[in-house]
Formats: sequence, C-alpha cells, structure tokens
Amino acid sequence: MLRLRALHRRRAHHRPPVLEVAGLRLDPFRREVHRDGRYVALTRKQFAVLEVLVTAGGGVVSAEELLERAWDVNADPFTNAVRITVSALRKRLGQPGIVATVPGVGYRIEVAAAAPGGDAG
Amino acid sequence: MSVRLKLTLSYAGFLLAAGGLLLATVWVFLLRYVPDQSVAGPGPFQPSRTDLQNAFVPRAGQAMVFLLVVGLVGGWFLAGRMLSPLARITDATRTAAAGSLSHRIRMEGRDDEFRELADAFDGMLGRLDAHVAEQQRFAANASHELRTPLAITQTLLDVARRNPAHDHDELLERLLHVNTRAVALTEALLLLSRADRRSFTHEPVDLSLFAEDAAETLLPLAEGRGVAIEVSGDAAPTTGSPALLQQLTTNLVHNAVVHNLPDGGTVWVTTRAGDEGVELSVVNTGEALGTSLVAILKEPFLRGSARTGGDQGVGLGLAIAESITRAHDGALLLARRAEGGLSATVRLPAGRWGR
Repeated sequence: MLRLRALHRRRAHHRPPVLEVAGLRLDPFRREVHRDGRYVALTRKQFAVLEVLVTAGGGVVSAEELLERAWDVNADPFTNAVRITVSALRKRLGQPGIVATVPGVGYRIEVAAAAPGGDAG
Repeated sequence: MSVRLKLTLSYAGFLLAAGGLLLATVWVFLLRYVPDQSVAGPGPFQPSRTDLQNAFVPRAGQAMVFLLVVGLVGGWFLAGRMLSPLARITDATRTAAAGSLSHRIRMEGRDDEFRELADAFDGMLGRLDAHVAEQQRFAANASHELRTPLAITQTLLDVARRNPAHDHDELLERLLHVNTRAVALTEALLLLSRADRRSFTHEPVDLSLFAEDAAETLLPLAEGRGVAIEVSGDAAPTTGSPALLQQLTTNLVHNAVVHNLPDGGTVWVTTRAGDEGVELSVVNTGEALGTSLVAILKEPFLRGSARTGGDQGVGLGLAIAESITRAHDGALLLARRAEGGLSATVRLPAGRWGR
C-alpha cells in the first residue's frame, strides 16, 4: 500500500519533458505550443498529431500510425481525419511550413529550416 | 393623507396666499397713505382711513372665504381628475399582482406622463406574459420529454419482472440506451438554464478553434453518415465562456450533420472577423425546408422534420445555441438555403484582446 502511494506520488510529480524542435516548443504537461516564441492555440487532435510528429524528431510517421496514436486503434481506417487535422494544423502553425508530406508514406517535421514548398500536399 | 387631499389643500393654500398678497398690497400701497382724520371741509365728502377700513375689511374677509371654498372644492375636483389615470394603473397593477398578466391598461387620451407610464406598464406586462408563457411551455415540454425515458424504463422493468426468463443482456442494453438519453437531456436542460442565468466567466476565445474542434469531434459521426465537413476562415477572436461557446459550435455542426442529405451531404463551417464583430456560419446541404419551419426551429423540443434514424438528439440543440448566443450578446440567424438545407450564422461582439 505504501509502495503504491509512493509510486502514485512519483507519477503525480512526473512531468513529461518539454519538446523543442525547429523553433517549436511543445509542452505536453501544460498542453501548450509556441512557435518562435508565439503561442499557438491548437485543438486536442491537432496537439496530439503534432506531439507524435515532434516526438518522431523529423522521422516520417504514416497516416495509419498517426490515426492509431492520436485517435485510437479502433478508428475507421478510411477516415479523412488525419488529412483534415494535418491541414488545419499547418494553417495554425503558419509560415514557413513545418509539417511536410512525404508522398505515399506519411508526414514529418522539417527539422532543418523549412524548405520552400515543403508543406505542399 | 391621500395625494388628492394634499393637492386640494395645496390649491386652496395657494389661492388664499394669492388673495392675502393682493390685500396686503392694497394695505401697503394704498390705505396706509390715506389720512386718518376726517377732513371736514367745504369740498365733497372725503372718507378717512377708518371709514375705508370699515367698508373694505368685511368684504375682503368674504372674498377670502369665497376663495377658500373655491380652492377646496375646485382643488378636490381637479385633483380627482388629474389622478384618475393613476387609479386605473393601480387597478391594473393589483390585477397583475393577483396573477392575471393578460390584463392591459390601454390608456387613451392625450400624450402625457400618465399615458407614458401606462404604455410602459402595458409593455412590461406584455413581456412578462410572453416570458411566463414561454417558461410554462418549456416546463411542460421538458417534463414530457423527461417522462418518456422514465416511462420506457418502467415498461422494460415491468416486462422483465413478469418474465424472469427474459434476455437480461438485451434488457441492460436497452436500459443503458434509455438512461444515456435521459442523462443527455438533463444535461442539456442544465446547460440551457446556466446560459440563461449568464453565470459564466468571460475569457478571450477564438471561434475558429472551436469550429475545428467541433469538426474533429463530429467527423466520425459525419463520415458514418456520408457527410463531409469543411472548415475554413480566419481567426475569430471574441470573449465568452469557452465551454459554452464550444457547446454552441458543436450543437450547430451536429445539427448540420444530422439533418443532412442521406448520403453525400456537406457541412461548411466558416469563421470571419470584421469591424462589428465575429461571425461563425454553419451551412449544410439537406432537404428543402419551409420558411415557416425555419422560423420555429429555435423552439425547444422541436426536431426539424420527422426523419428516419434514432439518434436525432434531444431536441434542444438550437434552443441551447440561441440561449448561449443571447447570453453572449450576440445573434443567431437561421435561414433556409434555396438549394435545400439550412444556414446558421452566429454573430458575436469582437473580442477586446490583441491578436
């Protein structure tokens, strides 16, 4: 019982680390995103998608994986949710585009300064 | 002392004072200068001051008494005439206090302060009457709607008790469904009263975020019905309760998804910010709606038209949207689309926060 409490206490104080990549600052504990110091308001799904992409650290994440991790395993595989949310997320994050589409594979964060046209698709 | 008596005494008092002033003037500027000794001379008779006083004072006294009587009688009559509209207004107030709000004063005659008061009073009675009628209708509808799930539960339980071999899983499933509906309805009613009481905080919010959130939440429902949701537009900063405004947006989008074409429908959600305020518009394809139907869509417990499909909501969606909009000093406009479907526009005051 005591051990459980101790575990609970440790959990309660455990904060996920703040993630920073390419001018983005994502605080999972406070659910806040800043880009170049500017606060960006995001919906729950937009935040979840960005968190998965930032955690991947520039690696490509497939739409199916995004659906599984930001929505849930039972989500309809034919849904447009990922496409719609990524497009809204891009608009919220502003220019230059930072979420790139890798055609036929998925999405990734442009870790280096966003290349022109990187957000096409 | 009644106002009528006070006015009467004031009239009489003023008349007496005026009369007294006139007499005093006669004394001060006229009688005082007449010599008091009779001047016996060769000329015609010259009255002394005493002669004049003896002749004048009794007449003056009579005149004062006359003035007093005229003041009292005339004052009583005049005050009665002036105050008669007040009596009518008082009667109307008593009638209203006794519970009858349908009575009106309907004062005729000239446009004076009393007429103004009576008209204002009639206006107030009219609004109260409409408000009470609306409340009564709402309470009756709400009780009726709340009774339905309870009555269904009762029937289900009765059947189960009389028939112990009944399939309990199915019973539980149906009870759960009915209960969920009752809870949703109760929550909607609570939300409605919360918005009406305006008991919420005002925070800076962006309607476009709510629009995207509502689209995310309702996308599975929409895709299940073959309806596409398209969100577009600019940031729409305003102030208000985030929870209520999110509910407003979700209600409108939910309404647009549910009352849409059977397949291949679309919902367009657009946000806009202008000088006068911000605007959220939710437009959907669907069956053609009659103008008369659109006019009463905001009424509680009214569902657009008899449509197939069980989960059409509890019939409070647009009533809640209207309530929330009004509580935020905005306006909710509903219009039928010529091509079929509905267009709902919410206009709210612009937020006083920097972008």
